[in-house]
Amino acid sequence: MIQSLFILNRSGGLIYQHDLNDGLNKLSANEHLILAGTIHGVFAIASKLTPTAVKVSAQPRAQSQGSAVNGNTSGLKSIETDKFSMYIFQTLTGVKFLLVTDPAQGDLNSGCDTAENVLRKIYALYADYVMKNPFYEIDMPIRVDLFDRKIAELVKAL
Amino acid sequence: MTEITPQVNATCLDLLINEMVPLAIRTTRELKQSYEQAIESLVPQISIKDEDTGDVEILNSELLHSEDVTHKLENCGYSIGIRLSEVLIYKDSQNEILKNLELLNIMKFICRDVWRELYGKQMDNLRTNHRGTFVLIDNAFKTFQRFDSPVDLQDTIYKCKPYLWISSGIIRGVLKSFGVDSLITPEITKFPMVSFNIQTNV
Amino acid sequence: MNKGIKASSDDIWKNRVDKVNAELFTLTYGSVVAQLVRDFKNDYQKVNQQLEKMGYNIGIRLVEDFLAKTGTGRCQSFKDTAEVVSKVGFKVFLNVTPQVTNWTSDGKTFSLILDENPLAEFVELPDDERAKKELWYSNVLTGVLKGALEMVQLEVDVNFVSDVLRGDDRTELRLQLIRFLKDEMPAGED
Repeated sequence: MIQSLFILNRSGGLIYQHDLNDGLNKLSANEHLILAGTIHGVFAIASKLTPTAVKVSAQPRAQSQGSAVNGNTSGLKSIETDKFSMYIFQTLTGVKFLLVTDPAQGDLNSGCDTAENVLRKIYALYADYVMKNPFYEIDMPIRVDLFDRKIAELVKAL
Repeated sequence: MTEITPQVNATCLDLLINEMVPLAIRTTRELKQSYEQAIESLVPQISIKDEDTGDVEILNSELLHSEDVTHKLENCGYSIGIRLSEVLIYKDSQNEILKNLELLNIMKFICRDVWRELYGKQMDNLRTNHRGTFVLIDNAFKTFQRFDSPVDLQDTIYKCKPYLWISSGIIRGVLKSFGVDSLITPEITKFPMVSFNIQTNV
Repeated sequence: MNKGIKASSDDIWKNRVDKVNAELFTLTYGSVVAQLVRDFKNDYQKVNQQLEKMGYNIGIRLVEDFLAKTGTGRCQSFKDTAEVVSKVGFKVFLNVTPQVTNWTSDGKTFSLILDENPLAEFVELPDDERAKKELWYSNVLTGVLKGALEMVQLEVDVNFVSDVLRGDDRTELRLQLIRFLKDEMPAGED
């Protein structure tokens, strides 16, 4: 079950947070910001830690039939705890989509794949309902009702 | 399925229309600046040219509802309307509506054929006082579909209004293509519902 | 780049793209250019500038739609970029596939030849000799390409070098890679 969605802009600033279920304790706005900033930092460090050999083999595919490619090849991909999992998708433009879900059932990779599929769909909604809104300024907090609704519908339909 | 009429990705048209209002403001501002510079060319001036990269800020310009901007947008619409009318008539010369070119029928053509071509739906309501005044109502104006200001609804409506002049101009252009002169007042009645008050006895 | 890229773009165009009548798009763009020509009283340099600027603003937004819906990954070379711009970008947005050609030997500059140009269908330039020398009618494209490529960390210079509207043999866009914006490359992707 999907609990929460975060979107971070190119410089790691939190521009969107949406609790989609109530399986997690609520955080304050300030805690959301700290979480986003921390993930952004850890993500970059994880990328430095990743051995070069692995990086080369994990190049994103040139094209994947109509669904967005995750540019996150060497950064932090997921965090697993007993109570929740977190998955990170990064677009080639540098926007990060973070999904917090219930703990993965089965192996770690299948949890990643499922989350990545959802995040791709969320990216398409972002392209449609955020980027095509002429009153939305790129990199700024997303306050778009229709986007909220579309995200909620998507998650509900899963 | 074969493509009868050539098509492009709807994203292209959406993003082009989105940019028409910022462009009209930029143009107005640039023309004003060069005019003022010409006038005050004797007084050395510090240029305060702002680099509006994201270009959303520009919609907060006091020029948003200026006559210059409104006029440019309405004018673009007008030239689209005149030509679109030709295209539609050419494509569907057997159209029942066009067999009888009385004013009410031309309005029906706008409500049905023109609106469907532009927005993929028909106008929801057409009223007339039978003395040359018509009110066309669209309950959910498609251009506004994704328009939402981070400030509030009032700000959304405020910034949406200029876009309505494009459609208003289109209607005037279509009417003109049938030889009808008109005066059109567009209004956002209850967002995203819009109305066009059309006076033809001008 | 393999042949798969074409088949896959065709599929995206056919099945996954919301489409509108190209004439409506052409008319709308035409009305914008005509208005600019009127406003700037045939100062075509200014018209070109405004079109490019508008294109840039479109490009920085359009790129997300492109990435989200075509599944295009990071290009490994500027040659790949050229193929993707033509066979995926132009294809899924305008349903045309310009020819990629005229590479310089350093692999940093190439041309796109637009045999078909949906922006300029049925268009005639203003009846003014200067328009034929100075106006780049489809200049919005230079801005779109600059904006979109900049968002994927490629600084590119884009210019029209010829246009059939001016009486040239063909419509040619020149793209030159200025630099790869390394500092803006997102961490996590190498």
